[in-house]
Amino acid sequence: MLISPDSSAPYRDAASMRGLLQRIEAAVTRPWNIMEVCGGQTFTLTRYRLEELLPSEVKMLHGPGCPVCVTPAEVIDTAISIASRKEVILCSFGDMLRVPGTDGSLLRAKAAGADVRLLYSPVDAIKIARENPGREVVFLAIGFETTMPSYAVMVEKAAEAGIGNLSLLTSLYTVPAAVRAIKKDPDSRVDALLAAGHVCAVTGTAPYKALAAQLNMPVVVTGFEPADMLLGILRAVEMLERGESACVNAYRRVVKEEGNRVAQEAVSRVFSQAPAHWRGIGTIEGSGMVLRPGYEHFDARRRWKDVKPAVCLAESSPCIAGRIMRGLANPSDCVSFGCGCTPDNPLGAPMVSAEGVCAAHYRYR
Amino acid sequence: MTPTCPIPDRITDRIELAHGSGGSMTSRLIERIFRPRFGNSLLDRGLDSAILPPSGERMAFTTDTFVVSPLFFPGGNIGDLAVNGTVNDLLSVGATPRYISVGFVIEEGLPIADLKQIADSMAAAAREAEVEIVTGDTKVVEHGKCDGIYINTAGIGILPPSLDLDPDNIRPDDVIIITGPIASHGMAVMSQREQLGFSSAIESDTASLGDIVHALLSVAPGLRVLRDPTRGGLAGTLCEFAAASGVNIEIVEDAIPINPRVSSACELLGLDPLHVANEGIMVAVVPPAEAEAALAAVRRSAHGADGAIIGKACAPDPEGGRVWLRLPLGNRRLIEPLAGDQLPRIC
Amino acid sequence: MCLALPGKVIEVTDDGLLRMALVDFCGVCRNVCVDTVDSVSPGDYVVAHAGVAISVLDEATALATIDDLKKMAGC
Repeated sequence: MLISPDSSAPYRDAASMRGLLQRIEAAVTRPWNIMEVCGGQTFTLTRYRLEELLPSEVKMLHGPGCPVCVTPAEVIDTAISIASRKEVILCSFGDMLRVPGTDGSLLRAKAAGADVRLLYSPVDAIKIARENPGREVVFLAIGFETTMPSYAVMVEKAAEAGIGNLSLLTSLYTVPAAVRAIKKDPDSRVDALLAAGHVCAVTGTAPYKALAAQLNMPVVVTGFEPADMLLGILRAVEMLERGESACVNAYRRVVKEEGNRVAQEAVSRVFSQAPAHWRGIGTIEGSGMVLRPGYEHFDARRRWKDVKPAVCLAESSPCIAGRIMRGLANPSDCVSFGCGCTPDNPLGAPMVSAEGVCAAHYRYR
Repeated sequence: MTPTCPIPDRITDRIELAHGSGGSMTSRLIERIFRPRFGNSLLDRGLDSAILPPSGERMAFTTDTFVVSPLFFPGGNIGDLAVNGTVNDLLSVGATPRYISVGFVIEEGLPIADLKQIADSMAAAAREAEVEIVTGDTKVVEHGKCDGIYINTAGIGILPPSLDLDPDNIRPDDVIIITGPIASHGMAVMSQREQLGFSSAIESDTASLGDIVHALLSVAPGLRVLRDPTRGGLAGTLCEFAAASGVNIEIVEDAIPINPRVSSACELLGLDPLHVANEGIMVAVVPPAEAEAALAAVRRSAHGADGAIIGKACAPDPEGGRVWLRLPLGNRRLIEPLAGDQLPRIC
Repeated sequence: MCLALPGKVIEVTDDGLLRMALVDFCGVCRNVCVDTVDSVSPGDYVVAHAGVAISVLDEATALATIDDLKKMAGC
């Protein structure tokens, strides 16, 4: 039978997954902690409950890979404040609307009358801006390297078309600096890293080759289907057992070594590196992206300088999200997990998005 | 000779506030749109209440309110959805649906053509389900105060004397049957939402399921419970069954029928099909000895060709019944009811 | 992070501002912005995230990976 190259079935085939699990079992001799830094991968691990099928020596740590989870409450508070202005149409992705800020979420602001819209693509905000010349369209631009090209296109095309009523409230993160910070923590348990395939599809593997060399740690560029994940784990275990610390690409059908040059160039024309605050973790130098000089008129924070929410950077106690995302604790270590804190009533961001580590563990426990 | 007004009947192509005033425009709306489509001997008497003949049997009585955006979606519209939904709620307790009431809340500005199309679909759905629309009401609200049209329906059905379908009846080893592929309605509607920008050939499964229910009742006298897994999806219904009966339920992921397009749409939006709404399927729980006959009967029915056995009831759980999903690799995970609203996940 | 799926390009259009491709994701179609990748043609497979192409699928490698996975099943 002819298999289409975009078919997901082969990557969910039970026999192939069993074969991969047997190979992992055969390869492992000692305990290893492998961290994934991608909410989508955390989701796959919990969706298929792969962790309980892995040999007991292999433990997964769930890094800060969910953009919804690492965006600080202060950003959501700012978005809510901006959205409450009558001229504003505030747009973002579905799961971002539910994340609690210091007081309420964007969904609650919508219920109170704010014009908050769920979009599938940032590019669609251009159309909304054009259709509403008398209004101000603000996109709550969260995400990692994967999502940045979509914002870069949106900004460049809006500039080209002379669209003046569109701006971004950015909360953008880059993975390598965060991994470096986590690994350098003296308490770090991370032995190997699964690099998020869709991040690498944009950035290429170079940043992860540097990371592997610098941190003396195996890195495997990994896809998102369950067999992709097991393949990534197998490659990591093989390298750990051999004492190697290289970066290998186990997602070659999507990730080219050089990444996506067109997207990289667009991102660097529009954004530049900056320190970033990660919810529950703190500020990490060089781990964020902000609009470059020349594009600052697209910066919603400039456009609404006077809009200042109460700054609240501390995660509401007793949430231990920060320790979980740094690989220092598991969701089950949290006293609130599943009793005080549930997807219906999240105390911290990782319980909100389906791919947030706590929500994923709760839903698929 | 009757004097006639020199000003011609004002031609409108949209609903106006006056259509709900109770005056002449309301009468015209009823006479021109509703009566020709819904007419029957009970409705045609035009009384404030429909007067129903005595039946001497137990009656089932249900109500439901329909709000859906967009109003028209592939496979149906809010009109047939409303009739089918109420019919299926009656069928779920084993009743034979007889009478339906219809209440409209219409937004000023709704095209009359849309209302006609909705009423046409309601009439067709009622005919198919062999129910009569015997009473109704129309209100019009200002533009912006509702989303096109809302429809409330209530339904009355007749129940066989000893039938008692209830999740409480579920016993260990009972078999769970689903009568068709899941998540079609929810994804048909969601993929039409303008801001998501999808196009697909996914059709809503909206249908009344009288044939399936009658077939099931005739071959499976031990039928424990039936339910149409609408909002909250299959997961919601099974969680209700487990909670009410106190027994664990286990379903097998690979056994659950789903249209590949629907599955693909769920993946694109990051939604779990187990939580997506259905409008044309039933979940039936039958004793093990009747399972094969029940499945065969379902599959012979008009809307049941893709029916399947998806799992079974297990041991009672002292902590309360829960639902487990057996995964392709043989391990299993807990199924929870939907938390919050279902929002597309992109990241 | 970053839900992204591969889909097949049906047609490519240019509205003067954006280069868009109608992409078929196993029976569900959506317009995807392809200004973020080198030129694509109908029949190509793009990997799209948030309505924007982030990569062009390498078909030969995809089929080779599928083959490798099948071999894994044999062990």
